[in-house]
Amino acid sequence: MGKRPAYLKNKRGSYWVVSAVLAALVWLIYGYGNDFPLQPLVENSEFKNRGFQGRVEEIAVPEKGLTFYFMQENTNPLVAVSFIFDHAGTAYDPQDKQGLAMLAAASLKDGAGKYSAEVLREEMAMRGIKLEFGADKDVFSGQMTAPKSSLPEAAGWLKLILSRPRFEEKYLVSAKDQILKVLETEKENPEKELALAFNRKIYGAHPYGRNPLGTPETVAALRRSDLQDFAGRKFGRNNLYIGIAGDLTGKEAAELAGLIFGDLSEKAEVEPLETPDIDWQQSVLNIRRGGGQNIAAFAAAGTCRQCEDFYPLYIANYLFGGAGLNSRLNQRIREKEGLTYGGYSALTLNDQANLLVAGFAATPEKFARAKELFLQEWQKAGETGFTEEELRAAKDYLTASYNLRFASIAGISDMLAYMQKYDLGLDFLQKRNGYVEGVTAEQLNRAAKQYFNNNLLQAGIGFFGKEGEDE
Amino acid sequence: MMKRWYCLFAVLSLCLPLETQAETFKTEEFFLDNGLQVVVIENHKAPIIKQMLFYKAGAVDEAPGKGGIAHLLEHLMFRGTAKVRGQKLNRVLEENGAESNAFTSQDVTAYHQFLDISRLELAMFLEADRMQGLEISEKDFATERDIVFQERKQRVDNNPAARFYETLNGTLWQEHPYGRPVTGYDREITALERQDAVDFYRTYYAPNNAVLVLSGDIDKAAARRLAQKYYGHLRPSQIKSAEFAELPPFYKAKVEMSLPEVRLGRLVKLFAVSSFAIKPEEAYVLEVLAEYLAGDENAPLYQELVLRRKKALAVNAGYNGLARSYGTFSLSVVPAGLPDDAFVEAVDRAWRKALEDLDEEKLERVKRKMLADLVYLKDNPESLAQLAGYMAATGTSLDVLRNYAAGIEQVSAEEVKKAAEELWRQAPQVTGILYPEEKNNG
Repeated sequence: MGKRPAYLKNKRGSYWVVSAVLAALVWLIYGYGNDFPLQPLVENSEFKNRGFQGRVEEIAVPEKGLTFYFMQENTNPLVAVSFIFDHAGTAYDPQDKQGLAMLAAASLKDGAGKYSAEVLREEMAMRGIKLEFGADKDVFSGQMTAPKSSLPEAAGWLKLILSRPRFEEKYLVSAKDQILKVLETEKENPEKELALAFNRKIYGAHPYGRNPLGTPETVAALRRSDLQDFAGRKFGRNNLYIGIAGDLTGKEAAELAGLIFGDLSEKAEVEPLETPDIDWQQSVLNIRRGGGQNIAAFAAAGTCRQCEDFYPLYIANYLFGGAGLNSRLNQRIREKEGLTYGGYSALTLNDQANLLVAGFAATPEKFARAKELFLQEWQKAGETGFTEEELRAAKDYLTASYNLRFASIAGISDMLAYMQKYDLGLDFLQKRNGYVEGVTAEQLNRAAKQYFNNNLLQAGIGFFGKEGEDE
Repeated sequence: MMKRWYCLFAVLSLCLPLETQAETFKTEEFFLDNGLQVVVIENHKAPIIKQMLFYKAGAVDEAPGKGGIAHLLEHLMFRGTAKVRGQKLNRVLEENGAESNAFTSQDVTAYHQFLDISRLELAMFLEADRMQGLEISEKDFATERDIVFQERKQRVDNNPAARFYETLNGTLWQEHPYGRPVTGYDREITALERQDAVDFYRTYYAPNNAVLVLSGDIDKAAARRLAQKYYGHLRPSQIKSAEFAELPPFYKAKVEMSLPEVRLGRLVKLFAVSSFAIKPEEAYVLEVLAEYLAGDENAPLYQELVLRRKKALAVNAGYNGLARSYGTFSLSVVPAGLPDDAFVEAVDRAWRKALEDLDEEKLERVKRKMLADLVYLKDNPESLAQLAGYMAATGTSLDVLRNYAAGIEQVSAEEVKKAAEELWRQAPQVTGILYPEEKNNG
């Protein structure tokens, strides 16, 4: 150590000097701002502890063979009905009819029963009735929202659309033309090009690997009879989850559900897909292309919604790249070095393959550094996990943001439908914050170790030389 | 959810910041002594609230050559104040369950949090604190300048058609600052300095140049009490209102482009028109015109161009009337083939025919459809917060919001026809044609 400086020789004096220096250092490092009392603004707020009053009810309509979740919400005269037909998504399209579910989603409103497409659209719009259909890999879904005063008409039309859709020819031709054009042009967007190619690589020949819109050949070959066949085979009471929310009573909701869905078949196809066999050792996929930035995408195995380690992994993902600017990933690649506008990670839930995905974009000269830091953070999450302090912060966010899920009536009805698909239970809303609070550091880090592992698939698009596997 | 592939076509809507729809909504409005305008919207569905703080300052207020400084300052506003240092703001808001973000447009910059009502006072304290207490270090400045540069690359250079839209805007607006991109150009961003951010902040961030919106589980009395408590002490400043270049009365420009990686042709027409802030009576008419022409698949342009003639795959008409200066009317069409002269002529013909066919009965249906949608604005507290805030911040009277239904109802077919005629013959305008990249020309 060499000679001790003079000011440390006096024992008593040195104590003061060292203390003062330490205090100054602490002030410099952490800043006096940390002492500014922000917590009392929450603790002493005049709005403490206003709970959300909504209650989820399970309603049965035995004479129609239906059961669904319902929440009454009277502050605005609106009603939302969300419905999911399970095992009817894009991955369930027959091999030679790829694109069928998406075309059905686009065309279902084009006429029903005695109503032409134009009349149906006009009448619904005049009454403020909104109806949307969509499909993901696993399910075909829909959502209707209507002013309370238009509910009888809305219900009647939705029933007709589900049971006697017309799929009018001229709209069908135009919808197919649109899809074919998109298939021809969707590579204009580099992010889209990467996502499609990476999806193909991850799942290979499994239907999850398809372009959800289909191929030019299969879309061109789709006929009106295929769509009618789709509606007949896929819309049943046996594969249906319904959520209803809004300004009506439970009794009215039961009548509504019975009217819309009560006459659907009980024999929709429910054969689940096979589980894809993913090769986690595949080489890196790099696509060469001009543009402003390179874009990177990553995928690893995830966990299922009902699995025991769902909440631990949910929190691990949140801390790694799900928390926006405060996530470890963004702190490292964005906030400290300014290498990118931002990175992300997310859990993807599919019935037959759950993934943990991530990505970022950066200009070519910064890309290598950003990727290096990304991989360092990924490895660190797996090897050393997360701290108690990080776990606390994640729990605070997840529990304090709880009430935001009740912002819109359509958000509530969607949530009610998915609570049933994922079998979360009628009391899920009461228990959910408990599930989050119950995660221990040990569980969190076990999940981090298990999922942030070396079986990480990688893909990129941009200015690449010969790195990895080119396409 | 429906017709998801429209998201590819959605770029054509030019991403106008919001749809200008509202009704006889109950909004309360008052001013603090320091000039801060406060707008209160009650929505008691859940114990949650949206706080938005709009500054009447955006890219149009930037000095020549300083493009991007409004946006860069928006980023720096998350980097710490004398009281809440470093990135503590982000951390604290997150631990309190807030969804927090900000955006910059040509006309305004806004900061917003969506959060549990029990955390509102915290968010109000933090927002007020950074109005005048911001500290900007050289290091943070340099990092954020790098980040906004990457943001521009991501938004513009990763989108092959983006140069087309920048060129169209530049051509339409000429000297007017609406012609410059909000992000700034590459060379402007890299040349920005810390002092530029400090100057912009000191000039424009003051209570008398801001609008506070509280939308959610709160009443006017509580809002007034808390606004005074957290924002009342802030000092007003001397701000002179911006003067915008006036466009020549009429010109008609045409832009044709072919860009690498572009695979989808486009036709876009932009017109410089009135805004709600300047002439609300004209703005209502333009809003109805856009809805009549291409509001849905029953609309005449869709029926004619997509279904009958099969010349187009998608049609969109839009009016952005919330602006401090001019409004913008737009028409965008995705051609089934190439956007050549014959196609442009077909679009023009369809437009003229649609207006010839318009009568009071047809117009009545359009208006009823528009009014039937208004109930949805009262659903999520975020929608009305954004709309009311944008209105107030662009100098539009909230009476437009309160009397929106009446304003729409008053519009006559004659007025719509006249407005379309004037648009076509008198408004400064640009027609843009984007050809897909030619792959096999040597």
